[in-house]
Amino acid sequence: MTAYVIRRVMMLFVTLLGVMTVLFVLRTQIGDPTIFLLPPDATEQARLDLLRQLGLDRPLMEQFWSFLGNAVTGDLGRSWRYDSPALPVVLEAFPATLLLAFSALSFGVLTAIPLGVAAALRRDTWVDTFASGLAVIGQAMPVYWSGLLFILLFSTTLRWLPSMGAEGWLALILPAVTLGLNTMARIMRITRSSMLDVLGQDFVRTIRAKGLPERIVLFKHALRNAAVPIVALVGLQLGSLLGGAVLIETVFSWPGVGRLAVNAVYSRDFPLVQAVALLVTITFSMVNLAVDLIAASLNPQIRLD
Amino acid sequence: MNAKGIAGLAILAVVAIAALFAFWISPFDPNEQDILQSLAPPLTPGEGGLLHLLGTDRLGQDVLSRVIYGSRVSLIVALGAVGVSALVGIPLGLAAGFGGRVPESLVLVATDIVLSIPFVLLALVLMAVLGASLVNLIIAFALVRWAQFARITYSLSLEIREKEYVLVCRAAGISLIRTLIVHVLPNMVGPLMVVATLELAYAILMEAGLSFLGLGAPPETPSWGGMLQEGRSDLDVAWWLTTAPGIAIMLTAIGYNFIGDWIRDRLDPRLQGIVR
Repeated sequence: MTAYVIRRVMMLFVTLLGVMTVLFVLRTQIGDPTIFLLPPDATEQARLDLLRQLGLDRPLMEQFWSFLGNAVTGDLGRSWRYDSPALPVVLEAFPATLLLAFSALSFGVLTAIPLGVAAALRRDTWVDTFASGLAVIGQAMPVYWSGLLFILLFSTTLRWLPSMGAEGWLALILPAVTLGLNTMARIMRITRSSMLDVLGQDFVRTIRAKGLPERIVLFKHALRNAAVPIVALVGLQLGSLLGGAVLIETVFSWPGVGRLAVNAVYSRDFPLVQAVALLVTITFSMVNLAVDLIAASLNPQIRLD
Repeated sequence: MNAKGIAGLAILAVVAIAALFAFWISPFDPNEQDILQSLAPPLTPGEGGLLHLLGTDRLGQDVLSRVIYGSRVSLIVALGAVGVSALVGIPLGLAAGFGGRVPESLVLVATDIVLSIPFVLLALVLMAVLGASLVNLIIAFALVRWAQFARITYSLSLEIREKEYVLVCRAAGISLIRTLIVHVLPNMVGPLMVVATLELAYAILMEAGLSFLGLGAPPETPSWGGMLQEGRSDLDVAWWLTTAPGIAIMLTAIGYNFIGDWIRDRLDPRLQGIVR
């Protein structure tokens, strides 16, 4: 177990090194940033000064090593736009994104599991049909579109909920529900099929024959056995939630790292883009590790090796 | 063939016909502006006695015609992106599965790296570097999603490489390349088709998402994502601008998902745990 965790953490460092290399190569391909940063009538001298100030006049390998070296100490460079270190800017926006992603995940899980269980128990009834219809739509509906429809209905027409910003809890509802719909669809599908799978097994018949109350059969035994694929999927979902946040935050003007990244890409502020990408990648990888460990503790049959 | 498969094929047939015959089907020129007809609601009569069935946008362009032409971007990008991803990913997955330890670890580390960055974020940066165009959309998608094909091909290889027929081929002196192409690949077609349909649905949603952010299809090309972006500012006065392209995106994605489900149902239970 300990050896496994150590190996996974080492693997995480290899992955991060790779991600940083990819980001560095992309930055060298983005072209001369002074074109975007200086006014069009800037002199050649001002351009060279800025290049030196940003450290972009040095040989590429040297830039790469200092990029890596600084990153180890938590220095991800200075934002070209904000003229401040990139990492604090990103860290400041990060809680908003985490709040959004976890609210969306909670909404998705809390609605999907009861619906999925109900669909499995009432197979081929209207409950099942309703649930699979919802799953089909939820999986295929692009978040940026459902977001616009929700704004149209709940903000513009009914005026119940705010359509933008992060002022107060009400502002969280629309973006979180929009982002969580896709998660809900996926988790519901896997809950349903996993439950159906478990409910057909011999041990369920045995404990039912023993006369255990149905409530205990379902929630203590069946759901627990069906949980492994669900937990694995929940972990994978967090990655797509962090990705989906990029689009959702733009639709709802939510002040998180997704919107920060989009704006940084628009303004070619590459250190900021790098900082967002690294932080999100680290979060995603840590969550994956946690999920694998939880899945292993739920099911002793899973061997970590 | 079950109802899902038929529905999926029907949807995709409509999209394909719209894309191929856009010039003859669409009632108006998708880029023809008519300021006098700005933001006309659906069913407003337009020039030449034709109706603007789905209304017009701010520039007076016919929404239905733009949705029809938008299917081209969607279809070209999705097929191109998934095709290139498969062409790159499947050989790399085979190399990882059959090529010994070095290719195995190289490919696996590379897939880990590429798939650990959320796709939207990476695609965003790639499109900023490459510039908005259809070819670049395909490149950006393939640069990341080859890993999905490589990973699945690799997990399938793990099982197949232990099979007797692979050993027999080797004993008979058949070259590894020939064994892979003639004997191994045909046994992977089903699962890979399921992955391809899921990736096609994903490509549709992502292409439209990137176009929505202004980093996908170039602005002058009618695309569903671009239409959503344009319609966003007129959300409160012209609901039809965002409804029509949104439904088009959703239905197309449903079409691919249905076909994937249908293939998966036919192949079950072998796919359990490999293709999600």
